Amino acid sequence: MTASSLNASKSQNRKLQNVNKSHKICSRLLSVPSLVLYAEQKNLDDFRAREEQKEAEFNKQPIENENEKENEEKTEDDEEVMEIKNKILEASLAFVTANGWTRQAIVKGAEQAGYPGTVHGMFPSGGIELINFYYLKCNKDLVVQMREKVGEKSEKVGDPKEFVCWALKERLLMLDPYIKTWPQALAMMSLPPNVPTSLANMLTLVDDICYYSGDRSIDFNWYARRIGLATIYKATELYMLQDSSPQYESTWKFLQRRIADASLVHDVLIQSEGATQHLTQAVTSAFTTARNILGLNFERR
Amino acid sequence: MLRIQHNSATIARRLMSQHVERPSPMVDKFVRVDHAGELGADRIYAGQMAVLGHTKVGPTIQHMWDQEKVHRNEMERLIKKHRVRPTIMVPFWNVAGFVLGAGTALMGEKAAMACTVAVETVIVEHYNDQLRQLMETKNPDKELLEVITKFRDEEQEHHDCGIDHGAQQAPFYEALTNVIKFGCKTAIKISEKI
Repeated sequence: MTASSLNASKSQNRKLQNVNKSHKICSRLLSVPSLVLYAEQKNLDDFRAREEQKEAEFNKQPIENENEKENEEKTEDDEEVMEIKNKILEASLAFVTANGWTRQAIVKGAEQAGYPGTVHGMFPSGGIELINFYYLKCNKDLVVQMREKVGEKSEKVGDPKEFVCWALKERLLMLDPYIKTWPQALAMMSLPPNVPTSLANMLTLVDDICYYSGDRSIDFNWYARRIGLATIYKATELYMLQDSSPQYESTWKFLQRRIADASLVHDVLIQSEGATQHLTQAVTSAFTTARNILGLNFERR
Repeated sequence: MLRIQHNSATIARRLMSQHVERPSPMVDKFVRVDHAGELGADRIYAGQMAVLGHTKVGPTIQHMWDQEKVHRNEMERLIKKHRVRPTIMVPFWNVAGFVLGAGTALMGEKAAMACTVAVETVIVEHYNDQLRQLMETKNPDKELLEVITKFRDEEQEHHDCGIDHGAQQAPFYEALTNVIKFGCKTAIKISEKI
């Protein structure tokens, strides 16, 4: 039905085009303005045809909307399942020190939460789900802490460097209860199938820290800051695993040194922004010279 | 009693809070690509002004440029407000926009106008697509709708202005506009994703 009507409209268009062509020749003979008028008209017609087609495509969608209702019911079910999953994983954390980030810990956690041990089938990928759960939980806790520290209204914190240092320290301290089994978690997170999720989790973390430390950049710095922060976090995390000093003192010193280095690099980059301005000026002057040589200097015309 | 007052105070503070959660994927995509588009448009007019600034079409281009600057600032505000990730291609669009503007302007003012027409055609269609999609959602973001509608209308004005200044008499008008349109559509696709 629609195909045939489309075909019909196409043939109509073709006819119109033919008519238009003869018009075109006539109008060329007559005067230029009418040619412009014709072109404008054609442009407008094209535009209208495209928009109408898009509208028509959009109107076809109600059929899909009915499917959406079913989807809604499904998401409600999903929420219930998620709630149960979270309850089990929360309980499983208590067994991580003894059993590691494994399916066993989940089984014990499920039993603790009052579900049969076989419910671990809900977690097809096993231990990594427990790790991701803990990672995201820590991220959420950190956001709450940062929000309290920054205060509700103020957009800027006193010293972003200090704030970032504090936030990273708080976040790393959350690993303290599971420090013995954390190397295992790191290894599991770096397995190829798990990399995308773990990377996304870490980027969420550094994005939150950047946001609450008052970073509102909208250029390439946005990326530079987050990548830099992620590197610092990861390096300090690895250092922490091997740190045997009381209260992780050398880790915090390591962290401060890394942040000092990063801010040094950042300052250099900021200064080099001035250099790019010089570069733009140089290019502009070269451009003006080229224009003059080509005789395109409009001022003198 | 005191506690209730205290609670309501904290709730009020939370409502006024400037810190927001991450945006929905749709808003994220829209604001990012629109920001990239307005940035590109701003740079295109900058390129045109660098070449044609002192000719008789100078004031017209300046007027359109000023409007694009307002658009760009507005989009930057929205990026900050919604916590949207800016596109990674920002430095590239910066240069590409300027080169496109200056390049077509060097071909003459009519070619510059043809470039304007091509770009604005794509942008208007793109904004229309976004408006359609936004209207489909359950609770469309009123502010975003209004901003996009306003910008769409102004871009349409620029398009008409380009036609009025004889864009269609530019050399290789069809070929030129089609190439630019294709480029703009590709840029939109890229900026939506990364």
